[in-house]
Amino acid sequence: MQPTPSRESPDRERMIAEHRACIDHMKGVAGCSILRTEQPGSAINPHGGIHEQMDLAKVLVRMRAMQPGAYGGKYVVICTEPDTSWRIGRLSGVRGVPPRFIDDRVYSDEQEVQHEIFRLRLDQYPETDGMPEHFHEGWKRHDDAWAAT
Amino acid sequence: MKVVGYSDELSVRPGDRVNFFVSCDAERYHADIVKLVHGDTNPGGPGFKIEPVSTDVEADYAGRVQRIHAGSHVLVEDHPSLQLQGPFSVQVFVCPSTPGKAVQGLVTKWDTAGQAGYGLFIGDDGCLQLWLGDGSGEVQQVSSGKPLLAGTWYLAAATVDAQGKITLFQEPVVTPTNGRFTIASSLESTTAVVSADARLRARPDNGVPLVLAGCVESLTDEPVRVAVGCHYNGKLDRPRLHAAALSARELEGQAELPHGRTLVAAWNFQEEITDNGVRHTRRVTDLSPNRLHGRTVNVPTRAVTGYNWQAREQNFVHAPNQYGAIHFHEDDLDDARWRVDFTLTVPELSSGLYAARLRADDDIDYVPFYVRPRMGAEKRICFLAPTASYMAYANDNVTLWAPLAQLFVARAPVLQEGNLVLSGHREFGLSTYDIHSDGSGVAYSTRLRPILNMRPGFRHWLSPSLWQFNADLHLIDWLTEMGYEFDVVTDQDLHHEGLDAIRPYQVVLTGSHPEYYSEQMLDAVGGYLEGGGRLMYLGANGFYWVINYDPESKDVIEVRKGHGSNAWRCKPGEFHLSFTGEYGTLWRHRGRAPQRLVGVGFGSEGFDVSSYYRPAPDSHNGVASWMFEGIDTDEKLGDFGLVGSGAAGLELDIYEPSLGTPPETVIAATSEEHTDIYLEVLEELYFNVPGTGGSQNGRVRGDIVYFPTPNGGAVWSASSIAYCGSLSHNAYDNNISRLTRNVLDRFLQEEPAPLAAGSKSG
Repeated sequence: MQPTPSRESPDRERMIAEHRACIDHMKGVAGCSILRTEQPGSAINPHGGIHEQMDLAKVLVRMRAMQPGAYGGKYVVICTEPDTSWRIGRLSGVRGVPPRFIDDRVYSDEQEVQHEIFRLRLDQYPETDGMPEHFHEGWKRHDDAWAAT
Repeated sequence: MKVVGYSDELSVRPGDRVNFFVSCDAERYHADIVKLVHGDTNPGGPGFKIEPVSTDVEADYAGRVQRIHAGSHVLVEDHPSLQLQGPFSVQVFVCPSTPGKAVQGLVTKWDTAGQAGYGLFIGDDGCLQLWLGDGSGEVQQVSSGKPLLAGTWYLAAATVDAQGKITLFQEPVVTPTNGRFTIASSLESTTAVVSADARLRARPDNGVPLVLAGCVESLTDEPVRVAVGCHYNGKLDRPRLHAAALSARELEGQAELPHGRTLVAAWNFQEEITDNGVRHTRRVTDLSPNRLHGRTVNVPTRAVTGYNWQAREQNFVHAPNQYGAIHFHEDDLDDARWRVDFTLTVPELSSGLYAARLRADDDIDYVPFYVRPRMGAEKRICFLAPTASYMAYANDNVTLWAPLAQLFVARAPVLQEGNLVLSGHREFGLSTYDIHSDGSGVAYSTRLRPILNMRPGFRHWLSPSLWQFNADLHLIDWLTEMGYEFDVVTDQDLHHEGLDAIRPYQVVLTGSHPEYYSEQMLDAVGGYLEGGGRLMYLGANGFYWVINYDPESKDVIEVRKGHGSNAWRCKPGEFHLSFTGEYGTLWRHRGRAPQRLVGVGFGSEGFDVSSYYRPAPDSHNGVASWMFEGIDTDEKLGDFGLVGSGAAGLELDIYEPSLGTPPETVIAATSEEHTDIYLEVLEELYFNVPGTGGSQNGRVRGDIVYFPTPNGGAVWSASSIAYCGSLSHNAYDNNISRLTRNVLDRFLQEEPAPLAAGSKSG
């Protein structure tokens, strides 16, 4: 399994830097992907990012595949004012219990929130997960397809 | 949100009446009618556009909060025969799906407020229980003491004899085919026969109905009339009541042959099954001489396997006796059942998309409805709004639960206020992308509730920006800005009126994602093309899922998912639509792949960013060149847009002769350079192997195609959900806008349709 890079890992800063560069390309794009493009603000000619740094691609997939309630709750973006302001929330993982804001920070750029969530997840999730020693019923049973909570 | 609402009508004509239902927790709200033109608030686009319309409903109204009573059950009106005061037996086959949840009513003549009556319940100990209540507050609960297993059938029964002796039976009925387990053990840990002496005399003369799958919480003056609580998740089959204490053997005999002078009621849910499905969807038949028929509330799932299913027959209409079960869910909903707040008599409005705008303090809700033209006054262009598909996605909660959501969109999803409201209010009902609280898929969706993701301005988590209803305003805006006169027709109209709904039109335009189609709708579009109609399919992944409408409600649809790119999968034996008996899943598996109708069909999907098309060789100086007048065919088509910043994105359709793309089909352009978030769809794969992503797989693309049909008709398909998001770029002056205009203008001409592939170009 591709490990989430630890604080000491030299890969960590490289991944953060590449993520940052991709996010800068995505500013002005009506969407987001961890990729560089022909120019900032365009989605055309995707390259770099998850197309070239396979360890970054795998780490991102692992983060996104986490159970909603695991490790304190999955981070999400909550739009508080359309096209203007966004905040970071966490899913409860409990049916019927809404997400909650993690703090008072308000972002005026939606892509910046994505980058901040990536950084938070590097600290949130363990290096490996889903190995025999991490066994829990949901993971193995593929409740993660469309959850049954 | 302080104010939300819905309407009883979705599609109306001038002179028709529309009732609006509103819940508002402010003192007052203001209502008026607006025409919806553009719902994308992205500052890089034309912005939010609505036009006020003067009507006589415009006024301030007093706010009141209205509740939604979700949870399916059966109600049987109170009747002296049900007020069993002497010896009695109650029995039912049960297959619980969440036995450990909390108290759940199975067969109850129980008044919660008065604590009076009798009932079979699952107790908070997860065991079968008999409850007796004398109305004084004294309740006797006899438990089997052995927890029920989820997904396992039981004969659940209780008898009280003339001497007040209670016997409770919890007997697993496990066959090689009927449930989650075959005979893997003795099942002793879940088998019980318990006896007790009645301490009190039950008072079932409590004035409340008998309930299957719940119990009466209270009688209310709300339109729902009976508020039901202790909802049950799971299946029930063959409930019976006797005015005698039957022996174990007698109970078993009553299952298949209910009889005898003490028989009070014997409900057989399979009685409604006909060769064409369950046509009386809300009726439940009592076979006893008392004829104590019931009615279902909130569409529990019918056409599900019963306690005696043998796994040989997959279609319930062929073996109704093995499909005598109904699957109930605590979060089913078919109608919010609110009181009417105001009624609009539709004035002489031009055909289009309108909404009641509800404003309370700083909050706004829009309740959309479509106005069709008066009969005989149709224009030449029709926008066919894919309202069945809007219903399929109504109020989805997917991003809260499914890790798949973040894998799909390749980012942390962006939630709107509407998502937050829904996250705490499951009573607003689910989408066909959700699962019920017991893990089973949501097969029905109703329009009769506030649908918070079917609103102008709503940004959908699944899209880089907009999706479905709000995304289709991109097209309405473009038609409006380009000066085209057009009418709107909805899926509901197409389903019920067939070809007549679109026959008057020279050109029909679809929305961006007309995914859910009934046989009636498919036949109508096919008939339109055969008769010389011209269709512009301005999206992708259309004509995909088999659905049908509730025979008893124009506002409820059904889908049975499986064998495709699906949010959930049907259980074995449950792939047929209850409403019709037809095989569900994808039209492709019914021999009607979308390629046969529109030349292309679903091939890949990804939801991060979009890409562009490159014109194909025929565009330069060939049979497709008529589309490209005024366009430099060496340039990229649609390398811009409000949905993923490209015209080719989200879901993409491909040309596929083996699935029925007509031989004369012209490929005008094809998309390229998609990201690795885009993957080929499951139904295209035989095995899951590496190399299905956008940077490696040539089948990850959208093909713009054209072909003529008999009698002067024609089809043009854009093959991308993101396509319409590019129409407004650069003040509507761009190559996607021009391409669309070239095709639409050409289709509006009376002259024969353009030539097919293989023809000599003019």
